[in-house]
Amino acid sequence: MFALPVVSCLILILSATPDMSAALKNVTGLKKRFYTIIAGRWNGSKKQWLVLQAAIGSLGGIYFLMLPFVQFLIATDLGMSFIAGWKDSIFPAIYTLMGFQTSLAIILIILFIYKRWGGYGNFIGDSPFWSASKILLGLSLLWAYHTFAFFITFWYGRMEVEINIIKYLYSDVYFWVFLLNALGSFIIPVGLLVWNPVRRSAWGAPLAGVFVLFGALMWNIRHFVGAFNAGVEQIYEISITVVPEAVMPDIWDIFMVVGIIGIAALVYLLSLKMFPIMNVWEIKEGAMYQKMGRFIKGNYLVLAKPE
Amino acid sequence: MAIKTVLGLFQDANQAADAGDALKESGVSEKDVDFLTDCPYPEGAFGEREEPIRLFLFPFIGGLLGFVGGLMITSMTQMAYPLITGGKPILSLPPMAVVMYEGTMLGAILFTVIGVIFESRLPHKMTEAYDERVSQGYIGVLVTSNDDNSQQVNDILSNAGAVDTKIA
Amino acid sequence: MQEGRVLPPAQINKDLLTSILTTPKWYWPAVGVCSFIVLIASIVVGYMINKGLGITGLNRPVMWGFFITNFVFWIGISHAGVMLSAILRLAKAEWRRPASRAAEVLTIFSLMTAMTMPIIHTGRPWRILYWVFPYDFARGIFPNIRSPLVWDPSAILTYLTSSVLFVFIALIPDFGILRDNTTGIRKKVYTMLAMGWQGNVRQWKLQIVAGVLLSALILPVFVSVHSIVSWDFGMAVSVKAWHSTIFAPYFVVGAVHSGVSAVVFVLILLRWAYGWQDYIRKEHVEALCRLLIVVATGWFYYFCMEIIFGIYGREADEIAIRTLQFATYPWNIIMIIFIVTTYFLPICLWSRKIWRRNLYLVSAACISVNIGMWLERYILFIPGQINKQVFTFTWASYTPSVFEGIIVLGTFALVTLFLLLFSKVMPLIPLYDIKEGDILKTEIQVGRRTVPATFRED
Repeated sequence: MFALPVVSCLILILSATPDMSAALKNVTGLKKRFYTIIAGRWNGSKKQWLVLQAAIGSLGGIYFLMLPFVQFLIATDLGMSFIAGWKDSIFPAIYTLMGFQTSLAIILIILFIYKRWGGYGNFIGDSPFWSASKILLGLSLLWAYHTFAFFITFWYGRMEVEINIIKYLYSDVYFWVFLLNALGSFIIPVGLLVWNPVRRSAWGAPLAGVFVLFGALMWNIRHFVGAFNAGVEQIYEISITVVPEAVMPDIWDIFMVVGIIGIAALVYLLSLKMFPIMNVWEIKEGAMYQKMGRFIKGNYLVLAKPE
Repeated sequence: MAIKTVLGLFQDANQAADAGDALKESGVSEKDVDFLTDCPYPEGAFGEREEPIRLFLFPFIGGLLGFVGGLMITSMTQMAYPLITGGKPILSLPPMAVVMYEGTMLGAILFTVIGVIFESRLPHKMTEAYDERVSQGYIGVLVTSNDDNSQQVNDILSNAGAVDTKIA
Repeated sequence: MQEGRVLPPAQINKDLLTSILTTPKWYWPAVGVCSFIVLIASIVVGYMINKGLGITGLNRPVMWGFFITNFVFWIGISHAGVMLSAILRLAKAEWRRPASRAAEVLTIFSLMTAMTMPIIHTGRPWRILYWVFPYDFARGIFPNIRSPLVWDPSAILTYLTSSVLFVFIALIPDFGILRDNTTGIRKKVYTMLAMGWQGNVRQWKLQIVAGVLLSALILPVFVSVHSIVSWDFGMAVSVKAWHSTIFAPYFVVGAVHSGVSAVVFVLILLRWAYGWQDYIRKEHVEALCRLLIVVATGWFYYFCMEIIFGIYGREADEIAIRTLQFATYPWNIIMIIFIVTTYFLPICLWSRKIWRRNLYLVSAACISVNIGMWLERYILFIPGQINKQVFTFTWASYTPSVFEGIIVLGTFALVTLFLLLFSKVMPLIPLYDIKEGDILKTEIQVGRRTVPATFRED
């Protein structure tokens, strides 16, 4: 779990290196010192670009391979292990999937904010939202698919422990939380993103993203609050025989959730003072490989693939 | 007045598009001009009119019918043969959802295919002018006209660079 | 894409219709061999129906053996069609063009072959009719829609119907070309099938929209089919090692892995058999191998999850199955072969670009995947049943008989025969797809380098 933030920081710093080098002349103080340490020797030579791209690719691959393992650890250690008899092989996969879904949702929301209010309207067109909305739609459908796969497998056999878990996390105790989760993670995003005009717009996917984030919060509350409060008495049993009671949040819980979201937003905003929101070099590279071209009587996008 | 179709065959797509412009300038309506190709060209490549299609209605209707069909099969058979299996309720929603989902998708796909064939105006008896060289890569400019205008259209196409023309 | 040269449409017609308009020397001997094997297998099936399922190795408690393993295997192969055709079409990947038709057709024939397995497995196949018609043949008993065995035919028939219609719609323009390039009775048949196709703007627009719409509709069906097949096993609580929530996505990803590998192998064979080096290029095979690396890794993740959670609960009977699978001869040998052939060997062979472009190595990797995936189903289904219930009168576990082996071999021959017969009447590479790719090709100048590019409508 420690390795994951380290790798992601490395990816962040490496990908920002060319832009830090470009900004060296215009910064002072601590930022100048930081930029000099990271990017002082960057001169944009062919070798440096090749090494940079190879490094980002390799680190990205490593990150991607580590991520499901970390999600598996959190899901089993902090979730499944607290409810006696909850043996669910798809739970880590759903948790990983939700990780992808929510991270895409946050990115889309941030892009929209910067496009609309951040002055980046000329650099963020509608096409990122059009492309990403298809992925968000797919991930939302996959959420429903994985959740149904879990549900029907547990529902079918009528085993006491499995029915108790369904009653606890889905149909009885946390039913309303599950309903909010389903609305946020699946019903509303799919209902929005199934329409082409909504997907083509800049606001459609971010709006779906807001619901996805809310749905994910409900999912985490349902599973992890449910797991932590499943009852100390039953934790050493083979399986739960009594469906635990729900635990309602008090004011301090709500403050903590709001506070954590606030801290995350604060850290993100502070980091934007150090790192550019978009990689300038990637924007320039993308612009090299696309243009509008004339084909007989029509004008169409020409997209090149350099490799 | 009999309806006639005039086909001009072009080897070059730009010439075919210019022929389309020449026809429009001579007063031929856009909806009377069509371009025949052996592969799809990007929409608007020949400067042609946009074709409105209503294909999206078909999967909705088909899906709805399939959903209702699936619901009927699952619920009516379960109620007609009320045998409890494995402790599950007589009307079990999760298994019903599986069959209803398949019914919905089957209905949507069947109706989409019907819609494609219908909207493509197929099956179609080929009474218009046609040339097999269209499938060899030639671009056909097909014009619907009447007896009086067909020769004029034929001349426009020939002047625009058609390698061959046909009237049917 | 980068390596292709733009060929004149007439040349494309000639090259890609060669399988229909001409007959290579190897064709009829290949059909003959496949037909012979299918005939032998059919005779064995007839013998089995006459004598009963006792001639197979099936006996309590192992009621599902080679036939069901083979059934799941062929359902798995069928998933390549939608993966390559639908998903890559929606992703606008140019390199899907030569692969899509062969993949879709392999889907149809794999599904048809897979369906024969449960039918002959019934022992008295004509009794399926009691299932099909909503009539009370059996005095108050009707197919139980709560059973995954009933979800199966609904899913498979939906997928089969959808795939056939998908291929048919995409074949209409090619029927038009065949109508224009044939004579006699063939021309009459293709004229009827083309239904008056002209290739006008409206018809092409509908083809494109239909391609995208049908792809989007068939994708959920593709996911559901193998999930439902997996639930034949996942719903069972009495057989340990089966009752796992991960079965649905695990089977689907495994199906994509085996299916796409099979399609890559078929493409390499077609390239060699018909001389389609200009159409099925090494860059296509390389792109498919890179896709397979991702799919294989996803499959390996689900496989690890399935094993880990099998032993997570520390239940004695579950541990017993895993001990059988991993530590008892001959299952441990089968397990090692399966893991190596399904993941590690192919990943090694696909890891370097130079190896991905070596068609012999890629073929070996793809065959290895399919051997491994067949063994995967075998090792998943049999050990659980062996340990399901130990009857005092159960003296032996499952040993497949030679009859089962012949029938399984017959299914491979049947799919090959179907593909050969299809190639004689319909093109295995969609002509208009290739031509469209050619007309959209262009270039962008970046400094002194000319970078290949494509026109995109959106």
